[in-house]
Amino acid sequence: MPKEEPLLRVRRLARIFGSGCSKCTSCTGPLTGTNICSYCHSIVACAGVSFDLYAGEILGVVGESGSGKSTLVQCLYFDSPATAGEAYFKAYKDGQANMLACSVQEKRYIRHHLMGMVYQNPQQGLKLDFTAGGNIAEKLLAAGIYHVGQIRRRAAELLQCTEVPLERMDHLPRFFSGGMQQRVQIAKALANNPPLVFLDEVTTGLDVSVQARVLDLIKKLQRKLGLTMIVISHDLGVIRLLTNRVLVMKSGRVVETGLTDQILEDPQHPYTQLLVSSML
Amino acid sequence: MAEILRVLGLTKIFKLHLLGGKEVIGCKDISFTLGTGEVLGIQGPSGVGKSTVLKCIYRSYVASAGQAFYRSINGVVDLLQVPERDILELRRQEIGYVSQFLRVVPRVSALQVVAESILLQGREESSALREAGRLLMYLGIPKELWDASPATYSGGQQQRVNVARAIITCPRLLLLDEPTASLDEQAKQRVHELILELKQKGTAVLMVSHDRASLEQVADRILFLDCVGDNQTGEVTRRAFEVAHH
Amino acid sequence: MLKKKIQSGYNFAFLDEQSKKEIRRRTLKAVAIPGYQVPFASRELPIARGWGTGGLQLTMSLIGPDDILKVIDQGSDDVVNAVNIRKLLAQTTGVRTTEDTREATLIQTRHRIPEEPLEDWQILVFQVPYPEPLRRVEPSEVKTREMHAEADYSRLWVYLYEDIVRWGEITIGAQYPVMVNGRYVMDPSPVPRWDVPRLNMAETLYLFGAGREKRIYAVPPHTRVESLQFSDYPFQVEDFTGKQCDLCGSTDAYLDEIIDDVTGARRYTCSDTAYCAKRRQLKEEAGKNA
Repeated sequence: MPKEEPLLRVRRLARIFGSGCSKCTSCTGPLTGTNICSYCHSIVACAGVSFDLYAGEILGVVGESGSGKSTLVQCLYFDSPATAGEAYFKAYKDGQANMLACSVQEKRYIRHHLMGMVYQNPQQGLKLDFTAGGNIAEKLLAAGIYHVGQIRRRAAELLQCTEVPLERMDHLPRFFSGGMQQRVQIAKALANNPPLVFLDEVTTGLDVSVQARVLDLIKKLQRKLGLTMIVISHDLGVIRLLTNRVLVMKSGRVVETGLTDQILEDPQHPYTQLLVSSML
Repeated sequence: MAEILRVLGLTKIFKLHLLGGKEVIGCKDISFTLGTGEVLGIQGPSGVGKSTVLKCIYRSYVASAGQAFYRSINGVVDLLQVPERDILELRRQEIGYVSQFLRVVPRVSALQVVAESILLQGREESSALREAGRLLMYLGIPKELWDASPATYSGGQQQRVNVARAIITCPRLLLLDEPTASLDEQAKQRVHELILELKQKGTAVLMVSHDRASLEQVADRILFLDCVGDNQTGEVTRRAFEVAHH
Repeated sequence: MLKKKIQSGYNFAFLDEQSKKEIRRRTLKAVAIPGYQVPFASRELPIARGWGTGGLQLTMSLIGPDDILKVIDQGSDDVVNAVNIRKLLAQTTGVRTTEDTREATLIQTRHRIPEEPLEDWQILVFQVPYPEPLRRVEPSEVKTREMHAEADYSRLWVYLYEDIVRWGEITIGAQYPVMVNGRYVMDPSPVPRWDVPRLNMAETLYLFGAGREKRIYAVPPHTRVESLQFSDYPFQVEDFTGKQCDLCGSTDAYLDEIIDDVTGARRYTCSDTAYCAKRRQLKEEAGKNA
């Protein structure tokens, strides 16, 4: 097989809320079944997370609430500072520098130019009192496009792509349905053709029919644009539909990784077996 | 006939943590070889582990022991060991798999389902859809059904869609799990013809079936899986006999 | 105007020397980092906050016995706020005051830059009500400071974009946000757009003081000051084409519109009253000489 460098290499990523101590990682995790350090009472949201992600791949991260899957993505998108660990991103300094250790300005650059994020809650990803077009414009402006005509053309293109009616472009997403808010978020995330997109529980809380439409859209865009994505979900159905590979997380640790069909058909870890057997 | 697949001592033991770590044997110590343009049938009673063998080779299952050397375009690899990323690439480009039951998103048309695998290979959309249509036509799926989801099809029709989506890529290695189980005689013949057509093109086929007649029609050799019970330990040992025919 | 006697019982220029020193130190920092808002301990003054106390403290900390002071409010020397501030400063310093822009060494202003060109020996002090240009898009001070630190101005840009989408143009009149030295977005205080280009590469030191908000910032001479604009919607100043000052006939000054209550007729006069008076005087003299 021709060897190619991963787009993203994450090594021993950890995020600890609280003072932290030397025993934090040893007394938490799936074996003890807790996130809380019994010595210093810090919360170990995730620890020791390592993985490689290749261009064009869709990696799923699955686990129950509190397993640390969202924290993982928040650290990689700089919403939350990682406590320890390294991440090398091919699109940033050719993957030679640990992006978790770079300056705030550089992090902002990476976020705006090289990454896209779709949050579970549109309020987090959208400014609801900016118009739909304005929300997309924010990304484009952050990337230095100061031409209203160009911005509107690109915004229209993206909204069309994400199946948002063009006449809604100058309306406030505050008055949109949940599904449409999510589609605007996706359009915004894709505004600068980022090499890496994060999807954090994007369909949770939507009606099933709307959920299906959003998922189909993501799948369609992924194929069309060759997106590389990390998909966070507690829903194995979403994971099955979207991803090629999966990390299974529990109590802040990765307990199992594998091909998506393998994880679903032949889970190895006791927790994964429980998770799969709990599928509806 | 060049050897393309050599399976050695393939063993799969399931450990069921929800049942207190109980171990169940899927298959044990299976070995065989397969050449290009060869069809190897795998036969045996239900529950004997025929599908397990295929799934281990396809990596849907994690094998417990053994090796499966596969001669890919880029050299020989052990399918049971290569990185996940390489397996995904091999699945996309070289290895086809027809599962026993079709599993599709109920919103995607049959035409799209069949075309998907060549679209993933980078085929242009209209040509991919044409190709998919041609196959569905050949397999006797009425044109007016093409826009509907295969989930709405009868069992036999679903199975034909399943076969179509795997063989459309002309894989180098094709794994078939009961591809003709729920087909009527005519449809079965069509599937057999397609398999033989692929064989002509050099595809190596591993075909699981409990239908002896089917296998005899297409298979060059048959691997017979039998269980030899050892009831005292509650274990079932599976042994493979290779039965050459013709 | 004549030098007046210093009001006894107060320190020179009202503030104590320690306070003046602190404010001068802040001012130096502001000059060193053009456009950056430097926090300072805004003092109590005999004028309510929000009435020009920021500018006043700057003036008090800078003024010396030899300075010649001019105070204007929206271009006028005779408005009550300007008069009161001028009186307070004159009484506590005894410096000479003037209405002539070309003569003043120190000018305190509210919402205008005098029409006559300023030079490098002059300082213009602005009274600023709201120093934070990002306030219209972000209510939290902690966040706006973070945004400045990271030069994250995309939300302000979105605000301008939405303005264009909604109204076909940027509707901000006064307080038009500017980029200073390619780094900090700054509020130029509520001067009309007309005055904004005059901040760019100027000869004069511009100081901005916000008393209630406790901020000092500066545009040193020869500093780039660019209005935020889109390449297809360039920044434009107020358009007075076809209009002229009713009093002095000027066509190249910022004009105030006056609507007659009875007839509803519109008239225009120079906003800078001293400039207008000077022009009229020159005209008169020219008339006499002719």
